Amino acid sequence: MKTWYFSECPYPALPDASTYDSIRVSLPSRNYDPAVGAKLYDMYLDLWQQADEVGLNVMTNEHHATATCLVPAVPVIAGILARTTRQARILILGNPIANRRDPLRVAEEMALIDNLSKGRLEVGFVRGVPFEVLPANSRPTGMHDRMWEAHDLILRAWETHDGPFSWEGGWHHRYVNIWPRPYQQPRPPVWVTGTSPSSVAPIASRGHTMACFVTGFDATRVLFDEYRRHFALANDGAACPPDRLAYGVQVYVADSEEKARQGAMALRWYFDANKVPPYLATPPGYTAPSRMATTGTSTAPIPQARQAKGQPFEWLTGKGVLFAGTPDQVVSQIRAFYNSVGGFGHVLMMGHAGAMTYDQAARSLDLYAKDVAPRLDDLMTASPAPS
Amino acid sequence: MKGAGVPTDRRAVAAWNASVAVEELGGGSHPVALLLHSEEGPDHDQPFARAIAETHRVLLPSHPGFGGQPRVPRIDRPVDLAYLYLALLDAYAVDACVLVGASLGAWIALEMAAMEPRRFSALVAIGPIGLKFNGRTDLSFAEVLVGSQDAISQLLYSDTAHDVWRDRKETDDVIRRAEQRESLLHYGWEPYLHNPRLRHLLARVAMPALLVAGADDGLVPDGYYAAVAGALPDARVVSIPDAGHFPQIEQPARTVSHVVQFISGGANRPLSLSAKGRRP
Repeated sequence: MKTWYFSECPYPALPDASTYDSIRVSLPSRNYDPAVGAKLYDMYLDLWQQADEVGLNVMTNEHHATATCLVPAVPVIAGILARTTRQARILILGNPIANRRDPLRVAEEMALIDNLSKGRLEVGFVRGVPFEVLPANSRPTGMHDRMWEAHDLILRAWETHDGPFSWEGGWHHRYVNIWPRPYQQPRPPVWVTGTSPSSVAPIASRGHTMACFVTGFDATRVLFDEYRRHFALANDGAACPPDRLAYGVQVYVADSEEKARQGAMALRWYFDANKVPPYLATPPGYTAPSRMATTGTSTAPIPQARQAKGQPFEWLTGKGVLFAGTPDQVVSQIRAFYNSVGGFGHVLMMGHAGAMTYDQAARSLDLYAKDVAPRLDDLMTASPAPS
Repeated sequence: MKGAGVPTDRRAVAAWNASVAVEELGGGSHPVALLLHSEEGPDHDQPFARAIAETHRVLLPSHPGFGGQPRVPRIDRPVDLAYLYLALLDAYAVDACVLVGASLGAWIALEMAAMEPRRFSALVAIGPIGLKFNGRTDLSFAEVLVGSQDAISQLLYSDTAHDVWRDRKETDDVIRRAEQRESLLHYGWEPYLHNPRLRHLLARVAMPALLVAGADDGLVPDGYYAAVAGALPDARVVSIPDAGHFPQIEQPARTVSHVVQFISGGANRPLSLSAKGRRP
């Protein structure tokens, strides 16, 4: 099992939530104090460095116009990590390529970071959450097609080394010839998030690593099974290696159960603070009309992450959206989840959220690296291979 | 409302590699009026169509993505819909007709009128969208693609009790509204509900034009209808009291009265040089 530490880099120093309608899209930036925020960036970068020093990998992501995530340009952060970390592999999950205006620029950014890190980059592509369509002014219809065309263009740009090629589809480039080319050959491993069963096939058929975030026991099993089925279909019935499946989850390890509960409640800020009006969560076009009519029913259940708001510790661990406790307890929670969903190869560990301090997050990282990670080694020993 | 007894027929018409669902209303000997419905869907402009059908043979096509019809690949902008409906008129062998459109339908009508100005004897644009006259930090129209149902209703209706989707919680209605909102979004996401080129093409729209504006229209910016009229060679504006963006829905009798008078009267005069000399 490989573990990747990440933080969304939140800005928790906000006024009472009753004073604003949404933490995303419309919250005025006057609520961001640069003196406070600039120090937060130091802490977040230090935590990634600490994760590297204790032997974990690191993961970064990006969101826009939101206090939940202060990274609107993930290549900038990953470029810093390429120099401040030594051993960790660096996962970007991901680049919102259905919303980026120029996929070629993404190809160049990723190739540059891959060189800066001497081949430690893993590149994730995401459709982007619904709240992103307004900040990006990205038309919510056709996002799936845009994402996969951008993906195809980026991979072609990485893998073509004999001079310019042309691309005239949804995007237009007459001379594609990126410098530098990626450090890893033919390219960095590719990840894509899986959100619904219908999104899985194109990920699995390409053999890219699929990550599911806080989808809990039942939905994760469905998504992982769907991946395994499509992987086998595309590979003459071959079994899917566990390193193609990843689970994103909140993790907090502590010396005592009491401290673990405190850490878990600090992590819950990620769920609690996500105040967003329904019309931003389900813009027309992003959500299929048939699903709009069934939101909240068994056909289209409320996502686990939205249900998790304000839930007690036992609910969060019981649903598998949080692994927290002493090292023994966390090992047993991860192993139980592993067995329940049919196996996977990566824990994407949200180990910091909200107003958690450096010491609080760093202690959990230390304990995880020392007393949890070694006891998960037998779950998956395959070395990473480009998908 | 008039028109209760007009003959009605529905058919699927092949045009430009698509199948268009068309409702035909009124007698075959009447002059043809192509009626392009608003983003509230063909059903809600049907009573208006029946009234026009007293004096005209009305063709009421459902835009792809509205009225339960699927969207058509590669028809992504109102200008594409304009080509589709020119092809539809070709399929009917209609060389001359009256164009009537509401909101999104009026945007399509303006695109068509700019493409083939000699084909249309008169144009009625009820609450047309599609044009931007204000500055780059002014939103071209109020936000109605991503917003709560209540907020959108208040922008579009003078009295939200007239909102055609109000209190309609049945699954079929929720899906239909969602499909149509998605289609408006698909056609008008960026640039937001307008075609920046269309404003400059309006000089080609030489036929007499009637702009019908709801007096309480919360979608359009101040001065919008006057700006549209000013950009058209031969247009006048009529304001409908107690109506928002859809006067044909909120005040159908008043709206019909203005429209019928316009398309049955002076607007059908033969083409000639206008007093302003701006006619081609």
